[in-house]
Amino acid sequence: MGSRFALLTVLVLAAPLCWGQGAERIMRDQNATTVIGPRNIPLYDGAKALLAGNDAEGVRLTLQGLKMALGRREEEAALSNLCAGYIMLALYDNALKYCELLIARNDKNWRGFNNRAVIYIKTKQWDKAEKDLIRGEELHPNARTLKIARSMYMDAVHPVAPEIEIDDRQRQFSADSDQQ
Amino acid sequence: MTVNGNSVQIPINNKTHTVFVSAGLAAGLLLGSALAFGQLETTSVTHFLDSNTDRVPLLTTFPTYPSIARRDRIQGQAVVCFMIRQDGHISRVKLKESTHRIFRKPVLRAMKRSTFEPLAPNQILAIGRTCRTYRFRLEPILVDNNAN
Repeated sequence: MGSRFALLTVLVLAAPLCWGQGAERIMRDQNATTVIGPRNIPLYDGAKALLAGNDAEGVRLTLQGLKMALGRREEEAALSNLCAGYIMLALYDNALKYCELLIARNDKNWRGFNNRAVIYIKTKQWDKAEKDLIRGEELHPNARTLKIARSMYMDAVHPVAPEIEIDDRQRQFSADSDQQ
Repeated sequence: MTVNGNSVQIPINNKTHTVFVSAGLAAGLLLGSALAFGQLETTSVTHFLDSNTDRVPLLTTFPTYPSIARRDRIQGQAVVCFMIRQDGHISRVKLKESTHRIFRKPVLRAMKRSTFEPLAPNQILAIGRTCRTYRFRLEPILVDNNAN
C-alpha cells in the first residue's frame, strides 16, 4: 500500500520533468543545438526507475539528480522522490530525513506532508500521522493520494469490517412500490 | 415456508460462488452468512427473506462493498425494485432509492445476476413486482493501538 502510494507521488512530480527530458532527447537525437526543458537526466531516470518498481536504482539515480539539481522545482522533486523511494525500500529513517528537508524548504508542499504521514503510519506514530494528514488536507483537500493515506491511517487506528445485508422483507415498503 | 435448496451466490476474488443454505430455516430469519475474500478483509453478508411471498430466491448475488466507499467510510443503503417473471428471472430493475450514488452500480449489477425459483406452469403469479434493500455497513473492529 505504501509503495503504491509513494509511486503516485513520484509520478506526479516526475511528469513535468519527463516531458521536458523527452523533448530534450528528441532534440539531441536530431542533432539540434537548442535544448528545451530541464536537463537533470539522473532525476528523470530515477523517477522512471521508481515508477518501474526498481526502488534501489531509483533512489541511487535520484540522489545523483539531487546533487546536480538546479532550481527549487528540481530540488523539491528530488527530495520528494527520495522520500517516496526510501518509503518503498522501507528505510523510514532515510525517508523521514528527505521528507523533512522537503517540508523545511516548502511548507506548502502537500506531498511532503502526505509522504511523511505514511512514514508515521508505517512507524505507528499515529498522532504525528494525523497532524500531517490534516495539514496535507488543508493544502490539497481533494488529493487522491491523501485520501489513500487517510484510509491507511483509519484502517490502522479505527479499522472496520464491511457488512452487507440483503433484505427482501416487504413490510418496509409502501404500496407505491408496486406501481413503479 | 422453508428455504430448502436455496443458494447464495457470493463473490470471491471477483468470481461468484454459490453457497447452499441449510434447509429448514423459516423465512424472515437470518438466511445465511458467508465471507467474501475479494477485498482486503472479509466482508460478512446476510440475507433476510420475506415470509409473505411465495417467490423464493434461487441465486442471490451479493454486491461487493465499493472500495472507495469503504476507504472513505461511506455507509448507507439502496433499494432496488424489479419484476419477477414466471421463469424466475428478473426484469425491469430500477433503483428506487439510494443514500449515496456509489452504491448504485454494485446493487444493480448484483440484482441483475440474481434469480428466483420459477413457478410451475399452472401456478398463479401472486406478486410480480417487488423490492430488495441492500444495506452497506462498516462495523468497527477493536484493536490495540498502544503497541508503538
